[in-house]
Amino acid sequence: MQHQSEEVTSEAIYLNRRHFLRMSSIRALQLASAGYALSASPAVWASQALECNDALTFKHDELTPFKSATHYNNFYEFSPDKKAVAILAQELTTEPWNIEVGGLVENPLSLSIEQLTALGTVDRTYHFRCVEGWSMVIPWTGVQLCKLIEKVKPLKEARYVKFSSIYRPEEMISQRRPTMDWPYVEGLRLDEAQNPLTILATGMYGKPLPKQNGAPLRLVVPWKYGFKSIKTIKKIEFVSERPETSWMRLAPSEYGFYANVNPEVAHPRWSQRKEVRLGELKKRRTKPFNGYEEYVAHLYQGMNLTENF
Amino acid sequence: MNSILKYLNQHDGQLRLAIFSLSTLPFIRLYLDYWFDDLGINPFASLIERSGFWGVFFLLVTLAITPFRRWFSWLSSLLRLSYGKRLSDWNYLIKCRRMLGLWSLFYVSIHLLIYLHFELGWWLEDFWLDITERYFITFGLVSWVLLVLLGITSPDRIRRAMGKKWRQLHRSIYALAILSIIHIYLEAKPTETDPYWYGLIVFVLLMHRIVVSKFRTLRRKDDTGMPSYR
Repeated sequence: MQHQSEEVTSEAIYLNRRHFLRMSSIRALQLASAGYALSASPAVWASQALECNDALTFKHDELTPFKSATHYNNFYEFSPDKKAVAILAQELTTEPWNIEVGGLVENPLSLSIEQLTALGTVDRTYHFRCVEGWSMVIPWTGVQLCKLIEKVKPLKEARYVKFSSIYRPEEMISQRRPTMDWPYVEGLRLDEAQNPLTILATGMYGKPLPKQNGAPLRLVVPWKYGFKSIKTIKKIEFVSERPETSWMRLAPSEYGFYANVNPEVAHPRWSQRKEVRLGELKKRRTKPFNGYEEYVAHLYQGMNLTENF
Repeated sequence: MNSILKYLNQHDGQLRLAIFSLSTLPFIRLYLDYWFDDLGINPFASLIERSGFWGVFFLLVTLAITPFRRWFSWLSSLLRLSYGKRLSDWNYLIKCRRMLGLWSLFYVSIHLLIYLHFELGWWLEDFWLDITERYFITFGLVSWVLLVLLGITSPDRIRRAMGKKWRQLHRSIYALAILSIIHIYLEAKPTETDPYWYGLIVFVLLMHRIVVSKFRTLRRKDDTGMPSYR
């Protein structure tokens, strides 16, 4: 990875935080972090689509410790147990890895991770909110999806982007059981995929992406619940019809296609008004679109977000 | 073996003390983990899951007492043991039951307090929204209210004063068990299987009572759920 300085910084913050944790109780930490607030530069309050090349910076809360971000993972291909994933995922062979980009596009591509990162990488620290009501703050490294879309040139009929994970039951132990229809499938509307916030991540905390976090390539859509951010991507297809995603197929009343972070729309099990930041005990209020409202709200103008949850 | 069983039945006070001590352990462990900041990566989830587990654990153990006494006495007859054939040989199980039920109330109350404090921060407005939006919370709350009613009417003095009504009230533990299973089922993800296991246990424990009361040959005057003296 070319991001040496990022690595130094994040490690320092991480060590510092451990030291702090050891010295004080979790409650003191909460008081300290309550001072941070998520707000974006007011210059880019967007009522229309942002450009792929817009320079974007985001304020964020204190980073989640690397250990927490890598040992508390929902990754059903390996295990429904969030703590077991870190061990089981090490079985996956991530090299070589080619992703197929096709469907309704002018230039279908098959590219390696190196060819993808050659399109240019960005560092983005995003808040990451799980539908289950917990959240993290993670520094990602990745390629903006809009860069890839510019390269493959979708046809006029392409309205959605469908992502598929790899299917490899010999290495992904839970794919041997029919917990859901494998491989995992996710989807975005084309304009959501083109939003410059949407990235294909290849690294985090200045390091290559750990296997339990979706190596070698995963999606990160910070204003949507975590399950939209599909891991171990093998195939990206441009399609005209809205794809049926894995969790929608399993429980359509619970998991919607949009899955935008929305404190006003409760899930039957998890109140979405609040979230618990990993490492903390008390829940905090959840922000509409996970705090990225000004960058993405225009995508949903005129839509009923309670029906289109 | 016989002498151990006999000893237990004659010294149920010591047994209760032992069970009482053991039942404090999950709480002590939970509190120490909380105090030393050792609850894991998601401390809130750890607190709420562990308190809930022990609440339902003690509820199921409480419900298991009556069937187990019957099954143990049946098994003892089958094995032609000299001790254990009579229901009264297992009276000490019945004598531990109230305490086990109260431990369930204790852990479920801790579970509720964790929710009220760490999730809601005592915002009653949010509480109301939760009850109307997330039905598993409604089921859980109703279960807790029933459990409190059973708990406060559990002293001997109140039981005697209530007469027949006491038994009617305390039969609501069956409804309470079903409500708490619904609570667990609604709270679980569609991919989780443990609600089915809890459901199966409750089903078996309640079916025992239905079967015993429906079939004349199985009915026994001394199997009232109270200590037996035959």
